[in-house]
Amino acid sequence: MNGMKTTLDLPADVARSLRLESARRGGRKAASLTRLVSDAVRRVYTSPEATAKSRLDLTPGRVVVTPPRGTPKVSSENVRAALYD
Amino acid sequence: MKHLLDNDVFLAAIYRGHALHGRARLWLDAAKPGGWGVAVETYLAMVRLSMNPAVMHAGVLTAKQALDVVEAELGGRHPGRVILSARKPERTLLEKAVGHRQIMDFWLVQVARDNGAKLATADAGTLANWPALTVKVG
Repeated sequence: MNGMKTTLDLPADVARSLRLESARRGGRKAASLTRLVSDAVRRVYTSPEATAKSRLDLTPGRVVVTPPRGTPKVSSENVRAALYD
Repeated sequence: MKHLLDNDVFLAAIYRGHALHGRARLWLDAAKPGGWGVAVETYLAMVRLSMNPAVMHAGVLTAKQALDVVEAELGGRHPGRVILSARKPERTLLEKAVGHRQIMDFWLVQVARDNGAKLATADAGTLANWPALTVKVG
């Protein structure tokens, strides 16, 4: 797994919730602490924007790149700033 | 080739998230049969912009995707040329620049002129400085 190995100092109530949830799902083999924390973080902190991607229509000679919903419009001034500053 | 696109117009024509997208797309579709192209500098600018989170936010493209986008746009029924200038930048054009941002704009004006084309741009400063060598988009 290309993940990050770390140590968490969890409050007692959170640790208890994790133990209970692990037991509810069938124990550590079925639901390890790593898996429970990862699932929770994905649900809470992964915004739609972070997972959204541009849609590419690569029709030759008439390409359109459509940004993810909610992406701010870019102006000519933004373009100049990105290129030249 | 009648028209050379500047960096902003090329991005605007392709990227729906650009404020000028609709007008730039319409303009480019109408202009293509007359012959069009981009300078190598604009080709690379399009790739850079497509990969830049400050421009594309969460929708940034990978290098491969950005290159696919540019190559696909250059294809089709009216293919675009990619111009590699063989000439040096001309003092007479560049010394009119006011500020560093205009250097690349004025260089593209020269590339267009040297290839018998006009620079397609939405930039008011470039249009004002070189009315005979530019066309307004947007």
